[in-house]
Amino acid sequence: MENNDLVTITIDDKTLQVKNRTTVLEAARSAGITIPTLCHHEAVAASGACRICIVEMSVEKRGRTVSWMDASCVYPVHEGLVIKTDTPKVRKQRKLILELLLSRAPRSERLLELAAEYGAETGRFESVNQGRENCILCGLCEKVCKYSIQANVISMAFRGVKKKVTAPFQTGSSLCIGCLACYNVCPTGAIKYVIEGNRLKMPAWDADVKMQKCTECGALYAPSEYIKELKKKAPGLKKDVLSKCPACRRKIFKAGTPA
Amino acid sequence: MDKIIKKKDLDAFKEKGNRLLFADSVKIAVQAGTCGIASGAQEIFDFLSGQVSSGKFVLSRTGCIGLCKREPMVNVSVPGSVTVVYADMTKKLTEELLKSWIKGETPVKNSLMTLDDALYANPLKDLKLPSGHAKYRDIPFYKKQEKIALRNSGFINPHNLSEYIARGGFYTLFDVLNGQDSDKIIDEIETSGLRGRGGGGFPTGRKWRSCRNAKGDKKYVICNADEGDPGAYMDRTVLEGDPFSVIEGLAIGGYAIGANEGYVYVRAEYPLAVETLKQAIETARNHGLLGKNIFGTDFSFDIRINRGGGAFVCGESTALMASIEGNVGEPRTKHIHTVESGLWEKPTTLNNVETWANVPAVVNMGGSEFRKIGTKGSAGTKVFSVVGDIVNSGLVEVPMGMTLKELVFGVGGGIPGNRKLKAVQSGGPSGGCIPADKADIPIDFDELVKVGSMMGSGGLIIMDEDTCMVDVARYFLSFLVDESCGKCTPCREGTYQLKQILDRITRGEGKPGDLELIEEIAQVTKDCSLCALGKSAPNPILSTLTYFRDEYKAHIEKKKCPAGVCKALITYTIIPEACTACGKCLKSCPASAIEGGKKVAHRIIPEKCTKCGICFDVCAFDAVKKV
Repeated sequence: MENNDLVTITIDDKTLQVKNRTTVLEAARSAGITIPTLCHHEAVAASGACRICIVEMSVEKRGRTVSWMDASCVYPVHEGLVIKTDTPKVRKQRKLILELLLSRAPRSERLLELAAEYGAETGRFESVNQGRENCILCGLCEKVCKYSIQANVISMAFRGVKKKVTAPFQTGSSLCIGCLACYNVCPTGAIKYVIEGNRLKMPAWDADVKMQKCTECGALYAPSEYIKELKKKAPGLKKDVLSKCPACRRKIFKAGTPA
Repeated sequence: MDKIIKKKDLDAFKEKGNRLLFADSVKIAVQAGTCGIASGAQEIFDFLSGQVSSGKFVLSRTGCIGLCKREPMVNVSVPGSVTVVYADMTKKLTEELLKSWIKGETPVKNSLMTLDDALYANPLKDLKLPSGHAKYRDIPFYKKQEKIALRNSGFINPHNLSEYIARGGFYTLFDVLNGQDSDKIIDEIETSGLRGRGGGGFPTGRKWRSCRNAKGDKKYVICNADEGDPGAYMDRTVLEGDPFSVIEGLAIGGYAIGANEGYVYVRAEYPLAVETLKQAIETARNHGLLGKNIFGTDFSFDIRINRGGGAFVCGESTALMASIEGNVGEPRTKHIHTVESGLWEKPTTLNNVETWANVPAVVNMGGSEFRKIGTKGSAGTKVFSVVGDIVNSGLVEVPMGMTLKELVFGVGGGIPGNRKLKAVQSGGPSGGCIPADKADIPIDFDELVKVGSMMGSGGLIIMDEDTCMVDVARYFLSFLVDESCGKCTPCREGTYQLKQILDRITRGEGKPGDLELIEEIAQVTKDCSLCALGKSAPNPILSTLTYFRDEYKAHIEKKKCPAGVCKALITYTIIPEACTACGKCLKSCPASAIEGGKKVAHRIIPEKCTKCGICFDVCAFDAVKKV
């Protein structure tokens, strides 16, 4: 069967036709069904790490129903697949997964929101990492830095419960361009940055980059290294577009006089 | 170097090999696998190396023949006589016996058995059985073993290609490349019923066929030698004792699925295996058995070695492939199978060492012959490393279908010290504990699953009545907590929290509701983990909870460890009436926690006692009690 062929599947009693090998998550979303996700982001390939998007699936095999749990963000649909996204079993397992994640990230707003929805309790398990960082090791920051930005500043180090996101050798990285992609994709708000004077700093990997001044109004609007990267990656962009802050850019475009 | 192209080239090597294996001179081969070296084989080899210039004997080395408990072992052949294996050897004994050996005599002192024609027949001429020695099949350990994967280990010199060819090696590859089409090879493997020996037990033929049918002009074969189960060393022994069998297996597999490149992913903790394999690959390449146009045919094939960095999870196929690619060794979901998209997203067939070593033998004897061995669902033999509380610890290869009991008591010689068998842990850290009363189940992929365990790669840990099953579950779980890659939540956090609870229970801090909580976490870890490591991680807990729930309850409710293992839950006391005041425990106590004097019964000071158990072990009068 080719990937463009259509297959018939059932999600929460709705029967629909979707392209073969679409993920269950995509199929559910196309049918207007919400499945919670944490480690999933359109910018990078799905990894199936956090497991919050687990659903119950079943197929008929030789007259018997075979069912199992799997992560919907990575599971590709196939003919005859029956998916249930919100059964008591699914809810119970998501609850436990949330409780496990809360033992590491007890103050994450997104987790607490989901916890309320699934009746998950905080403090049922021994605290990991003393709940210091709110990081759930979903890997989005690493992937977006490596594959989308291609800056390769951070990666996972160690394994198991000792795993952490860090710059090489756990030292500061001079490679960070301050693009804040990691900050933006982080589902739990674990990544922080501050602007001090004309510097942007990310304490987690000791990044410290210079901010660029808008040639129009003088406001600090983006890290210089980041602007340089943008110039390399989008050589067609007019020079002035990148040297001005978003507000000034808008003004100029509105006036109909792009530089 | 002589290239091997035609059958007559193989024949020439075969003849040379037979002359080496069945020498007309005195030949001494030291069994120098890692296990042998650990028990002192290198010292014996070095001593013999110093003597070899006398010209009175030929010195060689070989791999392990399985009975590791009795190592170091030395194989001695004198002209006209069958090889004799000497066990429990020392340098001193070697020095003493060498005097007889060089005279062509084989004294019975320290002799274990003869390697007679029940195992290796001399094709050149009839040999005499030296009198007074036990025959191979007389030894209970070997009586019911059947060697396929271990067919050469402990007999041939692993570095010597001609000795491997003399045992029929590379003839199968020759026949395969000269006239058999690849479909027929896969038919043969399918007919044989061979299932992967690395853990999962997936039908090898079906895997090969899917890979052969997968789209792609570039395909790979991989040998998984990242053997990481505690106490398991089947694959190491094959690589150290018979590396050419794996090379030949990979080449046959490569031809069958249409791959020209193979990888062996071997853990760096196996330096001798890596070195032996490296030399074997070079030798095979030098003789044209690897490289371009093997045996003058269109088929080209070569093998690279990749050393693993010591992560247990890299034994998982997708993590292993990620590691070869130079990425972090973490698994990915396998919804698109590796036979379609594996190494560098190309169709890839991965099998473990034992499976590959079986391949030439299966193709040579024919699928239907192989299928006659073993059970309906599990054909052939399986290699096990039998360790723990067992008399004959070592490596055994038995036909599938033998009962666990037979393996433990018949082959393994039972439990030392007349203690009772309590459980057998099979399948490595992700396997389960099978209680003694279930030990009459046959060894079979599906039967082991039915009792909550699995075949795994072949590690068997035998446990006697002095074993605490809660402690055992905690041990395996600790291993998995350390080895979880940390990618997915249930495995990373779930196993960790499970271990925290078990830690508490063994410290005497168990609470009501702990067992239910354990089961709740275990269920999610099993259902929702990304790879097989996480999915099977709760097995040791779940199986011990099924069969030994009372033991958990004793820890939690009564704060007692029935087996007397968990330190926090036991106390040592000296029974004054039984104490003879000999002073032995008093002198041995490393914590100075025992008081008493001449003719004064001794007493343990509870505040000082570290519960190391030395007093218990040294007391000759059973006066120390563990409660």
